[in-house]
Amino acid sequence: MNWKVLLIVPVWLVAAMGCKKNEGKNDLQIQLNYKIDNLPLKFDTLLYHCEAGYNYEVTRLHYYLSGFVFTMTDGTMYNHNQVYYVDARQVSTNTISLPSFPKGICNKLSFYIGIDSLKNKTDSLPATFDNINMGWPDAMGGGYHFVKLEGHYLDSAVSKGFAMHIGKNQFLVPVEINNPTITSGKLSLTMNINEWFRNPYLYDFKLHGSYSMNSDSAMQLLSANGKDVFD
Amino acid sequence: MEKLIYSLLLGLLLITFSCKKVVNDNTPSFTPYQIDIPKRFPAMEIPDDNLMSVERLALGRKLYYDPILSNDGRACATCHIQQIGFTKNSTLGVPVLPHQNLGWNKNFLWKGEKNCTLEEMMLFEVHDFFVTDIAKLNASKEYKDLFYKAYGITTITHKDAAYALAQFFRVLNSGNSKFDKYRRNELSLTPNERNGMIIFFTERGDCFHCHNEIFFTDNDFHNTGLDSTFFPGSMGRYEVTGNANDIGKYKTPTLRNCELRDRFMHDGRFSTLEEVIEFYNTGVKQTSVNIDPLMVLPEKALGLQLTQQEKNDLLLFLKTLTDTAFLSNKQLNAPQ
Ligand code: HEC
Ligand code: HEC
Repeated sequence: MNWKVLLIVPVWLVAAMGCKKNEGKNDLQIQLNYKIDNLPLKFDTLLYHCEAGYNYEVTRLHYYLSGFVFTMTDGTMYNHNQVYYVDARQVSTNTISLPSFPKGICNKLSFYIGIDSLKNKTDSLPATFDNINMGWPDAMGGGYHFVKLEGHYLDSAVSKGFAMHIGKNQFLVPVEINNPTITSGKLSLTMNINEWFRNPYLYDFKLHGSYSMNSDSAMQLLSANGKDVFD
Repeated sequence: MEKLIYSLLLGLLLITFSCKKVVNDNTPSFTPYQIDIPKRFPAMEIPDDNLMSVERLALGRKLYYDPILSNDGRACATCHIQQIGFTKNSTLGVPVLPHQNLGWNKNFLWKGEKNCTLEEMMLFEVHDFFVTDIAKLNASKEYKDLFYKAYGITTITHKDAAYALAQFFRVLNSGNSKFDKYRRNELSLTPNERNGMIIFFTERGDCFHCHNEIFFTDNDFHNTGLDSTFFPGSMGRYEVTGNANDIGKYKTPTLRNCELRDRFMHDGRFSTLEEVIEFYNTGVKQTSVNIDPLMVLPEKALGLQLTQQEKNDLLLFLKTLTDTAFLSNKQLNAPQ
């Protein structure tokens, strides 16, 4: 008698889980990729050319994504409010899995590069080594870096550093993507790093600053340019 | 009612356990140990096969101070001395890295030779660095009993010694300095310390990007521009990875308790914090290969340009990272 009951429970569990799936919900996997116009990103390699005319290389790209909202063609919305830390070098952080994603066609996706003002406060994210490294010191306003994009550029053959750091609530970067291509539960997003440096504003390290985090005017430009870094 | 039943059950359990102890003092026993994690620090990952217990921790502490692990009379504590943050001053050769907050650490040693768990790092120390003669431990009745009690094993291996040491490392946590107390609103800093803190945590000194607010290290590798020419043997992380982009890079050391040290940087070239600050202020070799972008910002082309007063204040801030409770904690010194 007893062993029969024992058997039934797992069978029922499996069946129950199967049912859930049939309702039309599944994980959505977002794969993050990087390019510089038509070249793939290769770290530490002076290969790239930005709009302002400098040759440059990237040594570090860390950022947060949050506030995912998918609007489906039937008008329903899927919200996912988790904050994701991404280190472009670290493969594991470049796949994001959103649970229970609805079946159907999505015609608009929006999210933030950065962290919304409710969570962008010192110590509000779990203390992990990554989050601690992303901290935006209280002495500079508190919260977290939304983006750290660092590297070197050549200025008349002399190598200089740049550190495009964005933080502070007013510089949160909203992104909107129309008709994202979701195929069999997968969505691929590619950041074109050159877009940080153009459209609508041409960003020139020498003119606007190689170090942005102490300059609201520099972050203003970067934040505006950031709206269409992904496609 | 339910509560009563639970209490009764708990009571019975306790009695059963305490009975066991009385019956035979040398059966394996596991008294769970809760690590006192400093406020604002991350939770610590502890592997399932080395859960913390009072018995294991006591054993790890004993091993740390016992020359039995080496073949030349040295113990870990010979070079890692508690009063100065579990490091050693005025030595020749490679400066001794301190043992603090390593339970959260993934990259070990100046060049990052080891990227691993604490248990694996300890195995390296015991097996490869000390080349511990494990027969000595097995020949000791005292250690045989202690390992049996803590881990339920009858033959001690290098791995077992490493596991016990890892327990001790997980409690070597420094998070109670003047600065920590200030961040917990328990006291205030002097105006000069505060000014130094602002230099540290703003673009003025821009120290925080690598020496973060909790660990004062980012557990990453950088070339800070100490040198512009490199020779075999002093090429940094490159010697481990063979990647030319790693030439000149070293692990960021923690600045906690740095006031008590007298050898700074991977080769100990500086003996005072004043010299270190002067290096950041005027000494960065900006043409060094792979220099960290933060060290060659055009905004810093002329150095940090700190005034004497600002340098003094920065120094005073660094001294607020001294954690006297940790340095004199009697739970961490040589057991009697
Ligand atoms: C002779 C002096 C000496 C003794 C004895 C010694 N160490 Fe060390 N320890 C060092 C030095 C020097 C370094 C830095 C070496 C390097 O990075 O190349 C170091 C580094 C370490 C590190 C890496 C810390 C970090 O931040 O990456 C650990 C862990 C460590 N030692 C553990 C131990 C253990 C465990 C023992 C005893 C089994 C021990 N040490 C005994 C000198 C010593
Ligand atoms: C780009 C990252 C970076 C920045 C920015 C930085 N440091 Fe460091 N710091 C390091 C690294 C890496 C080392 C070890 C370098 C070596 O030995 O080659 C170090 C070493 C030190 C040491 C010596 C510690 C020891 O135990 O040997 C002190 C003190 C120090 N830094 C203080 C500061 C201060 C103060 C600032 C700001 C003015 C600062 N650092 C900015 C990365 C950085």
